[in-house]
Amino acid sequence: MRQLAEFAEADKFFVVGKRTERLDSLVKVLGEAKYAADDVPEDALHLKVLRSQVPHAIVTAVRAQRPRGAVKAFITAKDIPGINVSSCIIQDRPLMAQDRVRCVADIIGVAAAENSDAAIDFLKSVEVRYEPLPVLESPFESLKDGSVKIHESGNIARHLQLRKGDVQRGFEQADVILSETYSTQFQDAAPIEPEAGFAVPGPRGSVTVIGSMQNPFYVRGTVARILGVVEEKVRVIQATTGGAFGAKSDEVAMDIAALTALTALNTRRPAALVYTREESMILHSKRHPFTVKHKTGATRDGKLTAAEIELVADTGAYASNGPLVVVRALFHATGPYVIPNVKSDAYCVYTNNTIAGSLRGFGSPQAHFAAECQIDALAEKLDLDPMEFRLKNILRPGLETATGQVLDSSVGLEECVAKVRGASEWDHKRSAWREKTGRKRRGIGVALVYHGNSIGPEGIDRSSATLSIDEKGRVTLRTGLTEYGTGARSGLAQIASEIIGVPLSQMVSAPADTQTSPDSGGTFASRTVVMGGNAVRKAAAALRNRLNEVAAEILRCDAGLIEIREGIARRTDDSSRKIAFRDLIKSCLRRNVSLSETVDFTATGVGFDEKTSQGIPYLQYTFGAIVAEVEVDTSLGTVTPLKLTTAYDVGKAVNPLSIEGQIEGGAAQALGYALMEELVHKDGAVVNPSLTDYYLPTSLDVPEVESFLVEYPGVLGPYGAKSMGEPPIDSPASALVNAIANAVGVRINSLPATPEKILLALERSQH
Amino acid sequence: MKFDVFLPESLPDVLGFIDKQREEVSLIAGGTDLLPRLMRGKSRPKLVIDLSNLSELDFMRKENGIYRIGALTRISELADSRLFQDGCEAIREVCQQIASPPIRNLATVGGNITGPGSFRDVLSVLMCLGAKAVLKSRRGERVLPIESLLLEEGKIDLQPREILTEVHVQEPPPNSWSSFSKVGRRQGFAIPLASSAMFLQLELPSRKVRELRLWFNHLRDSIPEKAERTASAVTGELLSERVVTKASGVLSAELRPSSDFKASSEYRRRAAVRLFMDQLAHCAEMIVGSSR
Amino acid sequence: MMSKHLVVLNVNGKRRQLRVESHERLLDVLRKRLGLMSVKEGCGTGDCGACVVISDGRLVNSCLMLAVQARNTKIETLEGLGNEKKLHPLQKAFIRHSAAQCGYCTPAMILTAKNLLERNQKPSREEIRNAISGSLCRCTGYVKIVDAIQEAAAEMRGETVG
Repeated sequence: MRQLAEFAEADKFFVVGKRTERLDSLVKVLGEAKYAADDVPEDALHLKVLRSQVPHAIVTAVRAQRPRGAVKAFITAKDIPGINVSSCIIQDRPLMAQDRVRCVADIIGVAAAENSDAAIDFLKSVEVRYEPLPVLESPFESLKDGSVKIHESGNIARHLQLRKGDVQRGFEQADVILSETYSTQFQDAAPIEPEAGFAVPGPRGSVTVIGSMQNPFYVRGTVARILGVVEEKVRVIQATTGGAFGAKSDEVAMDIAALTALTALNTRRPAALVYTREESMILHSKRHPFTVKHKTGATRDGKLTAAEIELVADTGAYASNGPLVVVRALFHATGPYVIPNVKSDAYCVYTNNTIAGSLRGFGSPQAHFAAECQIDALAEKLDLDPMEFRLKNILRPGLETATGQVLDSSVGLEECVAKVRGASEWDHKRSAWREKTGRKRRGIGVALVYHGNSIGPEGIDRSSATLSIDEKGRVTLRTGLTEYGTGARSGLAQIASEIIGVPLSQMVSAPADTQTSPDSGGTFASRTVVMGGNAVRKAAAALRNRLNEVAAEILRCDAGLIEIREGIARRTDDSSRKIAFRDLIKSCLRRNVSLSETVDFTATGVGFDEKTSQGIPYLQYTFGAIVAEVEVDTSLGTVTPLKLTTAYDVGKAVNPLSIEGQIEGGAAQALGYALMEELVHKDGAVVNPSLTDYYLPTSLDVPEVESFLVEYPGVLGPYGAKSMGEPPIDSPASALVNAIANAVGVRINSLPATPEKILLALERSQH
Repeated sequence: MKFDVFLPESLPDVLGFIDKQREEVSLIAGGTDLLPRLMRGKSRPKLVIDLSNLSELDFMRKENGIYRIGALTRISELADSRLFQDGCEAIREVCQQIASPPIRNLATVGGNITGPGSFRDVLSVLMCLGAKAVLKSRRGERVLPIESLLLEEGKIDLQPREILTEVHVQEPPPNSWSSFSKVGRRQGFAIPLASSAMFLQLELPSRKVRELRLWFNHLRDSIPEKAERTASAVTGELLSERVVTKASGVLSAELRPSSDFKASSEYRRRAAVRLFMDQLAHCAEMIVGSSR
Repeated sequence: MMSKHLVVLNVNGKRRQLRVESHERLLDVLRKRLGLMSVKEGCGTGDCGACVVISDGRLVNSCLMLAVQARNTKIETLEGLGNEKKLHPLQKAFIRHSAAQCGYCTPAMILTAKNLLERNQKPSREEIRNAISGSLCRCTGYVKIVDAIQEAAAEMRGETVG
């Protein structure tokens, strides 16, 4: 049996590494892609959820009229046949609130009617009695002695610690110590498609759910438990999904599936739930606000000696993916530097705000904002160029991370720094823009990033894929990993196309469907290409081996002499001896050779000490460097981003065009995070659940983004490929804030860095 | 959220129809005000009158020294028009700066002036230019300065059964300029944190201020605020640095901004003063420049 | 008399006669009555621009118009632009640049570009950014959307495309 490597020589790729088109672009540019709300059956009932009107209370009564007329059902927790839980890591959240509500995103009931208006009117008549409880608005309130316990187990959902070396001694060795506190806000994922889904009842208590989601198998598991049935009774299909960014990874997708399924089985009619933008922003999970305290020591010549870090995350009323977000934040809290002595603690804390959970970056953007601003501030204190200071301390091959992991050769950080330094003309601008005169001032700032790939310490990392070849020679990819704009599924198709030898146009990516796709774990942690790619690679190789064997028989040669490319199998020693792919397939079928292969791939090697977090949390890391240039109006505090120059070590670029798309999109989302986005809570209520008052960057706000890709293949991904879904959002925010600091001499330590914060900071600094 | 819609073919149709209604009616032109309010549950009309077909109200022309702008003129048409220059420049500026391209294609002048949920920046500019409103009902017509119709909460005091049909802007005098500017949290369209509309007339070559009119908006919801004391402090003075500084002080004390989750009153105050100073310099420069 | 209306309009070149209810938005009617699902709802308040259509040659938010207001107008949606056999240059360029990621804003972006290129055959990147500023994209950062529109403009001007 031929080895994988032989099918795709590292220096001779035909499909992998190329800027190929995505498989789903055609249907999207024709306007024919069907998102969940586009596909709702004509006779479906329309659901509306009744949310809690108060952020924290005992619910003493829920009184509703009998549904009649256009209203066909009103369903509450009492109607749940199975287990009333729709939760992520800690099973702390009910699908529908029973006797207690903990935030305004709690669902008390759902009305189903012939049209939305009737459902809305019905809900207005539902009487809910609340006995208010104290409302905890921030983790610091929650952590005070005597504060009300939001959950029985207390207000700390998780606490983790990292201990390396001896920070006491480390600080003694330092010539300079800097202590600062940084804070970040609730960011909304704001996919342009609000969450939506519908359910169709089937025979014998079965149901099919179609929806906007990231994880069909998690949805299936939750729905089955809520319905009290075996998983085989529930079929979940991912509809074309209009952006997700983590929000559709958590509760909302499961809620919508469960509520529509309950209604469909209850009424024997299809049932659809489409959230308005307001509902979406209140109900789905957001990015955790973090308060991060840094104390960092360095010697006068710029070597970091010690770091003491405390990270406190506001996870809202339910933990959601918070317990894992703090894990990632903890492991990335120092930034990509060598620091011999580190003491960090991370806390995931409940409040009565709405839920914080998965959002692209998953703790890393918050950790990097603090770390990269801290490093920059320390450089200032040491009077060293921020790039130079970083270069003295960055991770390089053979050096140790804060968890004591000795890195292998796949560390491209130094080259990333060099690339952005040159392309942005860093040195020239740092000196040319040093003269700070005039009302509008320019500044240039840098930030680095490292991002542990895939699930790492967050759970078991297993991925699966099935490849099947039909008699027309088309190759269908089936996997539980989902596409929602990343282009990752097309990347998997590229790998299969490369190894099997069919043109990309022969690849079919089947919808993620629990009935026909293998469970591949969740589509998060930027793991689709890294993990799914390995399963695809192996499956493709297995098929290719069989194809080669059969072709060799037909062409009368050794199996090792068969090359398949662009749908033709040829002998490499005599290219006139060939067979068309379709004919080869027919021959395989006649010989009863299996043309379908399913492969499971599990990542192994992760392990670390629970008390000290020392060990190997991630098998490979993506590295990157970002330089931001801004112009600040010192009279209004407004910031005009001028340019972002980025470089990432991507391991192996399966599709550079897709990767650029991720870099540019991630930079825009980070720019919003840095300068304008903030979902505000007051007394537990969401103040601005609307795109009128929650500002996403428009085309006038995002500057040009230049990207460089360097390749230092990692041990985990196919061909050494590294994650590029999330890393691009981790550090542009701190690069921008560092650029602002360079422009006007003030450091904004809390996001977003609004014109007001900048103007007032400028005024304070002048007095 | 159901309601009835009446589709008039002409202005007399509308006026005759409103005249017969007992209950309040809502008007829709561009829909950029009513529909978001419906979406948010802030409006529950029983009856809506669609004005969008009244092409007789969609016009822009200059007649006998007066610019006449029909209430149904779309914001984008004003933005693209070459009609408004010099002292009326602010009309083009505001229409180019507010909202987004597709919204500008829908929103109307009339809607910006009278809409209950309007953000009122075009209104601010028109008041700054001393514009008059033509209000018609079946009984007749009134022509009044728009400013005199402005109520405390920013609404326009229309009589029942009366609609705004057009706006008149006097051709500006020589040596005058007007300007509109705003500041927001992003470059893309957003409700401003502060906006400023200015009309300035100078005597040349002395640069003595003949007239200054100032309207600020979004300092407190979207309720336009006139800065009369500041205007008085500058009128009759020579426009020097000293006078400008003094005026900024008067303005800072005169404004009554409020705080909300988007910005504090302090920021709004500072931003408004800065917009004022920038505009004053700009208008003066344009007046001096165009007089040559 | 006033809760239902018979509306005649032209949609993608075809004359249509529809019975619509007063409160229905143009967005609702295009989607539910005519099955033109490319017109998307992202917010309902005019902030996201996913619902834009071309009405009598002007780009408008279909969530901000009542269906009755579209009477006697000519409406264009993405469905009327090209088809698999003959793609519009914009569609080809969007594919080539992977300017459609999740694809939800794609219909709005392509229609906006079509409308822009009708008025301005050689728009600068800034003019393109201005033209699309009424529609939000959360995936792309706009870079490849602008790239695609520039390339399509060049092709439509008859310049060779690389």
